[in-house]
Amino acid sequence: MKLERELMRGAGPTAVLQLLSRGEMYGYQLVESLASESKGVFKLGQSTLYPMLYNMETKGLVVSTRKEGPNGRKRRYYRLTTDGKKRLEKDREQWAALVKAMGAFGVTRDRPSTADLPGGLIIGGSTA
Amino acid sequence: MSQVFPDSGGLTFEAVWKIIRSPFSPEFDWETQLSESGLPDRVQSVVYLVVQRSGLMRYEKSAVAEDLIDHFLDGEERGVSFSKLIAEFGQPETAATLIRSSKLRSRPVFSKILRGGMWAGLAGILGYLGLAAFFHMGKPNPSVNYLFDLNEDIALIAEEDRAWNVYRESWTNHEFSEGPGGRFEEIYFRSDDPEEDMRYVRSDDGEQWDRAVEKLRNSQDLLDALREGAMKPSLGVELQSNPMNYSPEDRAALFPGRDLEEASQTFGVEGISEHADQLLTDSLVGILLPHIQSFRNASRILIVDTRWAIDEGDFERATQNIEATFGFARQASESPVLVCGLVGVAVYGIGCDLTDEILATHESEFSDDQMRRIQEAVSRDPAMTFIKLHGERAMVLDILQRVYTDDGNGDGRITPDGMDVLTIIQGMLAHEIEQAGGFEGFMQTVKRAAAPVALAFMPGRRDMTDAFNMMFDKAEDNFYRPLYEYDIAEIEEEVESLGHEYFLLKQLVPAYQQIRLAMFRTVGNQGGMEMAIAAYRYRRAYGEFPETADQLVGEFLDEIGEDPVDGSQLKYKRTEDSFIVYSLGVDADDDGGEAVLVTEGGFASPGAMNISTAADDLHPQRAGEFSFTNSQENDGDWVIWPRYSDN
Repeated sequence: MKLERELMRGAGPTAVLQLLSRGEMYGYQLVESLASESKGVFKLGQSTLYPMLYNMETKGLVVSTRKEGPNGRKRRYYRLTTDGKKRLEKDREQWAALVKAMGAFGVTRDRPSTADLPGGLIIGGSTA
Repeated sequence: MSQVFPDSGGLTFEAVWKIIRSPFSPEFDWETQLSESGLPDRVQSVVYLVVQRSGLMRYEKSAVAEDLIDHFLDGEERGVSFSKLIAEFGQPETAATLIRSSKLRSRPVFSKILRGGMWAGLAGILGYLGLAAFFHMGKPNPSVNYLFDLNEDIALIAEEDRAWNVYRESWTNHEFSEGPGGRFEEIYFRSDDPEEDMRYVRSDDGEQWDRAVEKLRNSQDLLDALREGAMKPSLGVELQSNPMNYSPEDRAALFPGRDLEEASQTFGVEGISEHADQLLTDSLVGILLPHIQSFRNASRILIVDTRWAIDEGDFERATQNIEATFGFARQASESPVLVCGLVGVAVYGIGCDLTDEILATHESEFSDDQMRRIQEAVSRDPAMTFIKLHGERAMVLDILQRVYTDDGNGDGRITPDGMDVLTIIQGMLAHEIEQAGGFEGFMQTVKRAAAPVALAFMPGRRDMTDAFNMMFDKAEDNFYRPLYEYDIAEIEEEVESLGHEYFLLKQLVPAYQQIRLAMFRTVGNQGGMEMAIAAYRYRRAYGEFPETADQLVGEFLDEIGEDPVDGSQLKYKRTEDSFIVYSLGVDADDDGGEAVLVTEGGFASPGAMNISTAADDLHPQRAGEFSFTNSQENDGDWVIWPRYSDN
């Protein structure tokens, strides 16, 4: 399955940050990893990935370096910055909370008890 | 690592340097990069489309192209077909849009400012080009023949009343107008003594007098023509902007020795459009007045000829010369152009000087009839009529119709030709029309480039015309009133108070104050001179000068002349063995005929005379130097008769 655009807009950068947390990667490698590791859910059109990378670079979450790869050809590698790591950590927490919350509603299969819900997560304008 | 300016919003030397060299450096030649990438044409087309459509700066395109080339090469390396890679890439147009917006966000503040500035500049340039196009579409279209209006009265003069028909032949023969013949250098006394001013030669000047007499003797036909012509009521020369509009005979007389057919008839100022040059040449500003200045010369010649006539005992010729001089004044001021009026006033002053000189020494030798004729010559043309203002109004309105467009309803906008016309006029007023070159030429080019801005700040034709007419109406209503009834400086102050956008009006408004003084000096001189001659004629009849001016009225004088200071009658005062005629003078009160005294350095009061009566440098203010502007500081009266003259 493929994510709706709005969902992808929120989830895509986190997924990219997560992949880069393992080490530096180049563009096509990210495309490939996103598709394969998500079993096709994050199969990004490249027209989406590169602008996303440029935005993240502008925000200082990633930096890029153009350098020679193992095949002897130069390409641009992206890696996380300190700010990127912090952001990823924050995203992780938010996603975990979101998944739990959605589970509480029965949206996801793993349904946590309401006692497990983190305080301060706002759903539908009220504190869950 | 690049250096980041503090608080610069991401501005780095590297980023700035990239932006600066981006358009020129081969390092950012992304098209070559793409063509040398080894990617198949169909992939190159996709990359090309994305990069090209991104509309980014060249260095940014280069970076995007690199990424996309890498992307497709990496995909192919991983065993994915180019067809599949293209299909998975998505829409190139969408990619271009997304890439563009993300790259724009990543630009440094400097770049954003630069980009904003470029857009603003471009908008400004486009706006200015539009303004310039609108400006350059405007063409003046003069529709009123003001020259015809000025000549209308002259055209109606009967041939037998035209002095020009008498003058023409002798002026041609003697190259009198604008020619070397008009100079008559022999009539001037030039002393080796640097302290002595140049003056007209007198009978006791030895060789110089002999040379002058010889010159006059050889110019008898000219002198006869001047005397005869001056008795005609009119001059009868119509004004022309283009001298080629005169008949060949008139041209030969007015412009002796000049090949007008070969000469350019335009102002010929470099950098000015031909059309503008022609517009101004055809205007009233371009009117040539060679004959007017000749009247000054004619009257000077007759001063010396009159001295010669007195020397020979020929009082009839002296009388005719005096009559002729006042006739020149009338004829010079015939056209309603300010310059003509001022020359007329000046020539009238020469006539007064001549009359004074002759009567002071030889009054008793003139016959009664000659005295009557001299008085008639003095009073024949009211001095108030010499200076006419409506020609000045016509001149300004004529300029306006050559500067502005005409919308048919009295309004219009400034034009490129009009700006050129103004440039020439400004140069004429500043006496500095020069051929532009070097830096001046460059500045002229800059001025021309900036000319469309005039549309924004210069008043439209209607506003400018209204302002002019309002000012002229006020001037005409008040110009001829006595000095103390109306201070014409009020008009000049009003004009000065207008905004800078009315600079044209400020430049073209005549110096009313000075012109009015010149006219009133003549008014005073005329009234005083009339009364003085009448007093001499009274003495002939009754053996002594009258006690009061009223005794002159009727038999010797139609009416007592007006004091130009306050509009009252000129004052007559019998002295022990003679009389004086005076005006209230610059302080506008009656000091009993005590003269304002002047020195070389300025004014002194009659009281000052009592303190230093022996002072050689104190003398009564000359009648011709009556000055209203010094009124507040100077006690005393303006003594018109006897006239003080040292010439």
